Amino acid sequence: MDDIIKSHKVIVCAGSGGVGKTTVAASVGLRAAQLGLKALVLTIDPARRLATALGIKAAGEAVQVNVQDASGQLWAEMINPDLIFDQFIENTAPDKDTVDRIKNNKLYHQLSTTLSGSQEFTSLVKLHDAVSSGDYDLVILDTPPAQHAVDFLNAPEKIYSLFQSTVTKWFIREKGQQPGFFKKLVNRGTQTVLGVFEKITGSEFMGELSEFFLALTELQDEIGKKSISTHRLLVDDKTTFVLVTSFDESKLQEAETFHKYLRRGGYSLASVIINRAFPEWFQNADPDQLAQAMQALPGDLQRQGELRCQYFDRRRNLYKRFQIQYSESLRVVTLPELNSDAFGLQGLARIADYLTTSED
Amino acid sequence: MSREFTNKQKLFFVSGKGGVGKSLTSAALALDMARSGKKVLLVELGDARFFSRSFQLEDRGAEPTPWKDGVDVAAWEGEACLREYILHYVKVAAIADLFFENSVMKSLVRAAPALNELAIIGKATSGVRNFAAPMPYDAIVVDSYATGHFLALLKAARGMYEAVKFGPMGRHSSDIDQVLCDPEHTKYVIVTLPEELPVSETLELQKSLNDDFKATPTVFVNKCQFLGATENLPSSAEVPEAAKGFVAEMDRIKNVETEARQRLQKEAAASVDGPFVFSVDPAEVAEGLHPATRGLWTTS
Repeated sequence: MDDIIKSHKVIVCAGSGGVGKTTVAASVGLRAAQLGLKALVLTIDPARRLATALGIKAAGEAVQVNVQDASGQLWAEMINPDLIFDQFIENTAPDKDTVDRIKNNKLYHQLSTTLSGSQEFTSLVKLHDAVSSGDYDLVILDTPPAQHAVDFLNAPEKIYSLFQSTVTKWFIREKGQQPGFFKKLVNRGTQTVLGVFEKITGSEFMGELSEFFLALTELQDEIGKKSISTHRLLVDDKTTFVLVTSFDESKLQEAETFHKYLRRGGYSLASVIINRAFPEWFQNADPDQLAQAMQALPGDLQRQGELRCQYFDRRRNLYKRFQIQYSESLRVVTLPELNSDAFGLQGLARIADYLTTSED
Repeated sequence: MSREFTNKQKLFFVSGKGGVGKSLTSAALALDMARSGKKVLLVELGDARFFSRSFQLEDRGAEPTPWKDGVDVAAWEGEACLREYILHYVKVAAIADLFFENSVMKSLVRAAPALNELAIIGKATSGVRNFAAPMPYDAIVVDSYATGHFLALLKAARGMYEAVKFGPMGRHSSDIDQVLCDPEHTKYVIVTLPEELPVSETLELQKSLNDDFKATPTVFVNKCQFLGATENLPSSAEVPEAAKGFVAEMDRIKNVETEARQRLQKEAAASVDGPFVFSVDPAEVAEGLHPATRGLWTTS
């Protein structure tokens, strides 16, 4: 992991929800600080205890984390997607009138909060800004919670296609025309389809939607440029991905899918980190000694111990199969389930130790 | 504005923090109802195909596929649900096809806020609303998204209704929202682990469901390791060296679990404990969990 940290400027921690991505991202940041770098961890929705450990109080401001025994610096910042989306529109709109038109649109609020891709887009905008500020040696992005790791990669393209000119142009109307009146610009097939759409959704919805797109035409150049520059940043050879995953068969399959996806898209995947794979007492033990020691425990506890040993043995077999299958193309690291508080800085430091020593 | 829905179909939404075992809890719940003679549709959202892969079934997407006696599984994706909705309106498949093959429309559907969410939640509530083709099930169990995304899904209808009051879109949205707020039709289950963070997130979700949907969710505490009477753990001096780590870990889990369950007892409106099923086979886990899920539906 040290090599990965030293040879990159951006590390993107991807993975589906609930796998401990933020904790891993913070640990990588801590390790970078130990290696003498000035590192920033960008996270969108940290668990409160982790936020407290890092000293994050409010979104939108980078804070320096008070780390011991590190020659470098660790900074952390929480991203507020609504705020960044608003800011982005304020910064790119040509005038206040356009800003108001967008923000007053009834569909805007839904868009900025519920549209899949908007959190990813704002994270990328933030990442881009942090990198181009030149303030940090390394920026680590903890990707927004998503159902699948690949959602993150699809997001910029989704947003881009939303803002590209071909979508907005159907809504451009001439003076005096009612909103939603786009019949002139499109061919007959599209007319039929849009007519059906209007019938289903109602004219009020179409009116709001067309207002929204019209207001956005003012921004589309900037959004297009931003989409391209963030994409360029993600495929840069100083940028790499780390996939954090939990340990079960469906998640391991997802890791493989994600890997293929990255390779096809020209991104680099530095490592797959299987988080909380085994408890420390199991991972670090000699199996024979452990089995023998279990025998000496009182009845109920002995049964409990044997049950868990069998269970983790079966999991270890699953893992071995996965490893044999993918070890050539993937660098896989397992992290144990820590039997202590993983949220304090000490917990992060222990994870950082495992990250640097437990490479297979 | 409120309408009366007489269809008796029950709708269960299962949510919770990522990684707590939502899918297998949903499967166990469906299985348990089926074992009592109900006909159940177990639905997953999105394209992960967790159920068909885990239970080694043929992947037929939204088409119900039999899993166990009385349980069919299906995977619903936003776009497919939207297509179904549109087909219901235009009646002619060729026009619906045209709709989705049209590149202008494709981008528009992707871009229009919350349209996919609305289509999914519309399909889930369509039985109760007697809208479109009936789904012949006593209950539909929706293995839903994790907390944040789940709330966005539920709020899609209200957001749309607030933005657009008139036209078919406004009317449907209002009906959907009404069903989601009606405890006669819609039940919410929050799955959690007996640990501090998932429990905190559970209580936050409970509050949101309470505030926004007047709903009282039942909490399912998955993977409890200390159910029933447990003897005291031996002191460290009595434990052989090689098992010390194990005993210390059990001690830690016991404390964390006790604390989490006490907190839920105090702050959750209703909670049901489920055991840790020590199996790596998903079907076995669902089988092991199903008796524990009875409390999620029999009280209703």
